[in-house]
Amino acid sequence: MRIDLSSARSLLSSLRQLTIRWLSRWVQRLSTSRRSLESRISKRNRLVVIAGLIGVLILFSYWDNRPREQTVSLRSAQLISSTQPRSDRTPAEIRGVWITNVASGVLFSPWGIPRAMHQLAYMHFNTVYPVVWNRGKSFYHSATLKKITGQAMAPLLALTHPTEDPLQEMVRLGHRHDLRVMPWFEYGFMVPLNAAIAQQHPDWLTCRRNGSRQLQSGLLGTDEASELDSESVGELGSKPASKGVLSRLLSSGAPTQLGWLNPLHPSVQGLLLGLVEEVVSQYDVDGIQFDDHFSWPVEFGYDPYTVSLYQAEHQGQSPPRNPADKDWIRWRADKLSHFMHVLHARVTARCPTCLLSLSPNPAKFAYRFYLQDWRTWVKQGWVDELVIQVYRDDLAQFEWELSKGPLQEARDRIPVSIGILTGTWRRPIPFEQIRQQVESSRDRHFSGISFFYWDTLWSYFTPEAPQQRRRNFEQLMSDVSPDTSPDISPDLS
Amino acid sequence: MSFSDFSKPVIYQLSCRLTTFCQRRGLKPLAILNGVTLWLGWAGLTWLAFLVSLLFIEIGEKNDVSVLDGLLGGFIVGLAQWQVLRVHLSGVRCWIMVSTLSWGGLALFPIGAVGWITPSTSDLVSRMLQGAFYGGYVGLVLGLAQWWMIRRQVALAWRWVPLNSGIWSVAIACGWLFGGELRAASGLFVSDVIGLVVAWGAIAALSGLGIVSLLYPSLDSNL
Repeated sequence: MRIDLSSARSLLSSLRQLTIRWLSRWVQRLSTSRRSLESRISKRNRLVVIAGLIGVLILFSYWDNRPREQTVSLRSAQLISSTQPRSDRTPAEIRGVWITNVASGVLFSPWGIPRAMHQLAYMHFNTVYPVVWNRGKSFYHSATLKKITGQAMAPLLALTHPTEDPLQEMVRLGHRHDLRVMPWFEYGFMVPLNAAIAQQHPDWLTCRRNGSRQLQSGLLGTDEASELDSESVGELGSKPASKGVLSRLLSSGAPTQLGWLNPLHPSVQGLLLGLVEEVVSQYDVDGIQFDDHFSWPVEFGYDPYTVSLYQAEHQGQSPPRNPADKDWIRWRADKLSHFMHVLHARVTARCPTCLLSLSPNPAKFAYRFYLQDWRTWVKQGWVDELVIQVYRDDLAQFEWELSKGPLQEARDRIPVSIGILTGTWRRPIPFEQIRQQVESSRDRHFSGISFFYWDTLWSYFTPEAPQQRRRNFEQLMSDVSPDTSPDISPDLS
Repeated sequence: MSFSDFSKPVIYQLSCRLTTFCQRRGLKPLAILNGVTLWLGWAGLTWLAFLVSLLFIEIGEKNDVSVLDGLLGGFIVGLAQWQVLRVHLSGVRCWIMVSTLSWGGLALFPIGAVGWITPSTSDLVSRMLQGAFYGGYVGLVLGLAQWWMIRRQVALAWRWVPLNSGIWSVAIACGWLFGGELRAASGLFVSDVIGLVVAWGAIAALSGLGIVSLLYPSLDSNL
């Protein structure tokens, strides 16, 4: 190929000249504009400009959630009387929402928490369950966890909240909007095997009969389980991986190998008690919440610590080989119940006004597969509020769950509300299904409803347009007729 | 071996080829450089401006996007385009205002600020047809307003009106179609947002070519 060298050289030089000219022009412009600005703008005017800019920023931050604070406050005042002790301050209808860090940006964006609190108050919600313990990390400054793992808070969260503790912010803003803030220990005893805590203390983990510390894939794959807590199941990795590229992409951050901290191990109990005590004593929270992960999957319990404890109590006999053995289940469930008792006592001692909320699966499943005997916990008065997870698509199945005996039994003692799934990125749920389930719960006079989770209430990750969804929720939340008022018999004795 | 040792021969080879190409077509290298700079700047900043606008504007269906949203979106996009245009064209100070008012005005009328709205139907054919019609309408309104701005400085500026209308028509139809396909697969509204991001990418790139052909007609005729 023939190349004209002189033309190429001239092009190169013109390119260079152009760049230099462009740069020098910008530098010149910047300096002249600065000089002229300085001469024109007095110090006072500059302050006015800065104040104006700050004003515009504030305006923008409240752009799409123009408050009706007066209305909200008035409404909340009707629901909650501030003169009452906090334990009696259960709203006329509990309207809660879980705020998590998984598949959610609310905790990580600078405007996430204020926006969420503002919108929830505007939509007549009154309770939030913000995550504080997930994947072996805390979502507030935890001295307890720092002592163990060297990390006081999830690193990304620490980076996005350099000035204020996110839980502190949540409590401050939540209370400003008359929302009850009940930190949620989402992962309970569950922990990814690659988490610092699991790596540093492998002896804290319980194991299966074959010695594996990994949660068995398919453990929850029973008929009852398949529909039951698909969110937990998804988290546990028990469901077969979705085929779609989008699904794979969305689940790319999820831990692939999960283990379980031994609920009997004194150090594990110390860790959870330490975390709970920190939260209830250092933050002005209205209570705390544990869910179905405050449990013990039936396959686990064959670790040396548990086996030796079992042997000590059974004349040297080893635990049954069948993890589903009735007596073996009973023994482990009783041990877990005992810890629940300790936990409740510790919460009450540290914060007498704090509520202990539990969000388990339906009783039979929770006991058989998670060894969570929450019926006993309720009877013993170790749980102050129950939010039962009824994540069903089929309305008939949903209603069947609501009619079950243990639920009726529990609601005679404490406020029982219904956990409704509003969707996940992989499983979007149309508003119509949510409306039917809310109305069905109201018709049965439960104490309220709680939605899983914030990001699928009215975001881009829902089947409908966000504003349409907000309009629907606004109508649903303000639509409480007197004949559907909750039937609470606060017999806490 | 330093980076410059490596890059020099590469740039040298590229510039040689470009020079040969220019000589064959009878083009001035500087004109090509200006054209490419304009296209890259226009396409990149317009698309970026749309992405920035998503921080403030929530995409929704027809009536969800308010006049204020339209004004704000128009301002952000107008600001980005003006930043590029002012280097190549004098007297475009009002570009931002024209863009702001045009989008605000569009949001006032029933069809709405199409750049930030999604169709309510899931039927793909309807989406495509609606997209073509609504996109053409928005392109026409914007094109007219922008033509009015540049009519004195640019020869044959009237061409911008049908060109812009056509580009918007095709891009919105494609974006809504793509968003619809994705939404059918995922069941999530975010699919439509992605569709609009794609549409704006196409609008930015194609209208960039259009503006280059208007401002540097010699390039257009020789290429």
